[in-house]
Amino acid sequence: MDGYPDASSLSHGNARRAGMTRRDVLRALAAGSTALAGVPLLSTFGIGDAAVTAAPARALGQAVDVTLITAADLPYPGIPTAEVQASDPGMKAYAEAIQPWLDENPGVKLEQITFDVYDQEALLVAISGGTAPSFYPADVLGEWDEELVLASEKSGLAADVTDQIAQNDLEAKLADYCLALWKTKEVEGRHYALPYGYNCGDGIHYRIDLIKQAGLEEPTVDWTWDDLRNLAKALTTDEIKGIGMHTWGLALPLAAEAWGYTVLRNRLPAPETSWNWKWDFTTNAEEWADRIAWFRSMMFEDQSILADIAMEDDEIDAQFIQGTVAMANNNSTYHTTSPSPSVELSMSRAADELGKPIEEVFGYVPHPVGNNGFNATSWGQMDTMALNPDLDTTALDKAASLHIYMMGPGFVSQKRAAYEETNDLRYVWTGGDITPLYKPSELEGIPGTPEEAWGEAFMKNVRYVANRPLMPWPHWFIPPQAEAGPSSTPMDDARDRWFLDRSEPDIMADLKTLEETMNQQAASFTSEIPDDQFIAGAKAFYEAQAAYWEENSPEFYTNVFKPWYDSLVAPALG
Amino acid sequence: MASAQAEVTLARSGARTDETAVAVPRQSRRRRLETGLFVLPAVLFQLCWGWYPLIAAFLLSFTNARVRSPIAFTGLDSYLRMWHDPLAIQAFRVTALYAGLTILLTFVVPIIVAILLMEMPRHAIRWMMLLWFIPLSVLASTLVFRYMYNTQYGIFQWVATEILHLPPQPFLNSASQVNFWIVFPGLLFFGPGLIYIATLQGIPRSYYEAAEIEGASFWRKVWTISIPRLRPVISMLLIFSIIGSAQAFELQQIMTDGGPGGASRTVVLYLYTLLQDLRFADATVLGVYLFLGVMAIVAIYRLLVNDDPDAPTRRRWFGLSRPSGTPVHDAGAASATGTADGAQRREQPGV
Repeated sequence: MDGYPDASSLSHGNARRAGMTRRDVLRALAAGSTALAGVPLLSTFGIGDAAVTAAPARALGQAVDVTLITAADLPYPGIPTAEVQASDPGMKAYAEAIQPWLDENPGVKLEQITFDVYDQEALLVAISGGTAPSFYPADVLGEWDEELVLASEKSGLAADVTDQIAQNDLEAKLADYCLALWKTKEVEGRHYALPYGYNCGDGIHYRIDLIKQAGLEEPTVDWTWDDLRNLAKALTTDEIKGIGMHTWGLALPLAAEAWGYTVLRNRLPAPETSWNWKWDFTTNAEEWADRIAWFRSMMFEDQSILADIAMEDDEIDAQFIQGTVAMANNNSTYHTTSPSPSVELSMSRAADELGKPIEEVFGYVPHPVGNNGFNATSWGQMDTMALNPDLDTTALDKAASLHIYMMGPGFVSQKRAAYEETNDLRYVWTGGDITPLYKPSELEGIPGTPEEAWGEAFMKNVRYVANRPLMPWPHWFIPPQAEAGPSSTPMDDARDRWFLDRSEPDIMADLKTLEETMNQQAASFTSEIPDDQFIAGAKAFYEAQAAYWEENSPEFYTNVFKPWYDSLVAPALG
Repeated sequence: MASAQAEVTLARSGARTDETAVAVPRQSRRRRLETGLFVLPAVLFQLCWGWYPLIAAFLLSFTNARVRSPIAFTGLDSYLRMWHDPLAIQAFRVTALYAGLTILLTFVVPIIVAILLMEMPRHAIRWMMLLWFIPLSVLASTLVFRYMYNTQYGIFQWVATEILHLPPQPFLNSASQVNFWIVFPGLLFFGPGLIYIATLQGIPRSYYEAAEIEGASFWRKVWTISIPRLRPVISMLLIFSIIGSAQAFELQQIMTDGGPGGASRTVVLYLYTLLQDLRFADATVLGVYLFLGVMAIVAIYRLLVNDDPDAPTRRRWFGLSRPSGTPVHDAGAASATGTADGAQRREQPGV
């Protein structure tokens, strides 16, 4: 009746229309889309998809045919073409640096893909799906939480590279300030990542020009939080805030009183519980409340802090560089970013624009010391590079060898090329390279020194932190767990609310609630560490802590650590 | 074609046409194959990207959900852990608050605005529809509002202190106000107002004229004509609004990352936090709880709310209709006014 042929109409002798009818087109589309739908469906199950997955890595195993996948330039780009090298001196230097190693390792290729290795979720999905690059920062796995990173390594998210480290004699190459930290990266005697960089951690950056303009004194390494508060208040004007802080800013003065999720005073060993740890915020509640109230008065009475929940970290950094904030907390490497126009926030370029050497504009000092001499809030940090656990032994050997080479001879070669190109030591000793991973004897030939690049005063404070003995951490003595336990989220929530919310909080009630919440969460987890092993590790940890504080801060040891240990920790460990 | 449809309709209604009742013809094999091919891509897509992840997540919630290590069955451990987790309870509370604010400000207000707008001249209505129709990126708008809320240099603070002479306001930094300020931008975009306007424009003018003749006031006309006619749209959009609010994530993550102190941490944002903490099993359990909660709300809603404007005697039981004695298209707007039945029945909806 509608003029379109079908079986019944044909049987009645109706004429078929010439060419494709609308129904024919629709049928074809249906059949075609069904076929097309099968492709993504099959690719979902990994069938027939060789281009996007880590097929190159899986195909490794032949001695001379290894393809290492890198994500952009982390840690190394793919080998640049001649055209790219001609237009980019940095890439040319890189190609020249890596070539000797490639000559010694024929058959190894570097393939670059587009992948954000700093996206934790994407990285975890890629690792589980077998499509992750060959190299990625280990810290991303645990969002820079040391215990989470170790948990992720223990659960197989990174390759075991212990043998490769030994084969390349890596530990003999490491600088003294790196070696102690490197040893803390072990997981039950094994290593699951290679060293990638070292820096002396966070501290307070300050505007020397604004301080001098106000007729004030620069801070020193032994300054206290009261000193910081007074300085911030004196620097605050209608246009300038004394200090800019991120939303977690309250963590800094609290940490100076040994407040913490993992290390001291808030976490107690509790082998009688399922998780082996419990949290305590009420024993010293008045002390914590006083400290929080002190900081809130700095925020709401002095009004010397620039902070807002909606502000991103780099907004604070930008305001510091612009001079609308006189101090800011950040990693020491922010001071040593090169003046290259491609770097968005650069103190050195800002100093150039002011027509002054950086030593006259920006300064850096470790975090202030706590009321009782606790001075371990600025400490050395080591970035590590994990290798894809899907790589076979040959690929692992080559990846580790390449990385260890590029941290040594490859590093020297690129630095020399950077100086030849720019004649500026700030392009040589840039970022964390001011404290290289390797000993000086492994890095001969790099022009100049970090002091010549960034000034004596800055490097003096950097080396002060780098050479400070490391405070012992629990995971050095107690095996990490594969299962992530209770998170620090309730502590972070409480801390952020106390920092930002103007309404007067009942801090004592908050502390009690916080303790209940943390312990309720902990009670729902079961530790995989046997009690006897936990007790032995915990005892070793606290003994190391006692020795550390007795030597490095007798005041803190006598007034805080020992009484706390004797009354709360020792009885728990029997 | 039309006769075949008529045969199917009559067969469905159960009415007997004559002694030789026509059975629904069985489709030919080829026709069935064609039908299957048409439907297959959508079914495969839904199975792959809808049902498979749902079922896989559900099964994963009973394990320790290791990424690469062997997965072990843990039973209800994660369920019990999340059931007693104070942060999960807080997240559900925040989500309920956010959903309530969203529905109140971005759902109810557009209805009122749309109804009032219908009283304005036609060119005003067109301009408003044009404004609503301009595509705006939610994320871009959220980023802009984030800057405007800044307590140091945001325009809202300037208005509060310089224009209204109020003390400095905390905006997003206040645990008690943060959810309101997160919802507030949605108020300005008027959400589904465009749909309401379009629906109201579809109501025959004669309904209102008849009501006016009978002496109905403006609010009486709104209550007895506009609202009932909007009921199906309101019902549908309310369900979408409830489901969407329950899954709130991006606004909170962009503006406050769940702060201050978890005051704006919704369930999905907490789920995201659990993923970052490598607690994958707990995250899937939270997703299951959210799914069950939303399903329960929708089921209760469908059970209790009658969204058919033409058959008030109809009752819906779990999506099945118990047919009334009057066919749908003959009901008319019988509830417009108590005395306008005759005038209403002469007009057919949609004509």
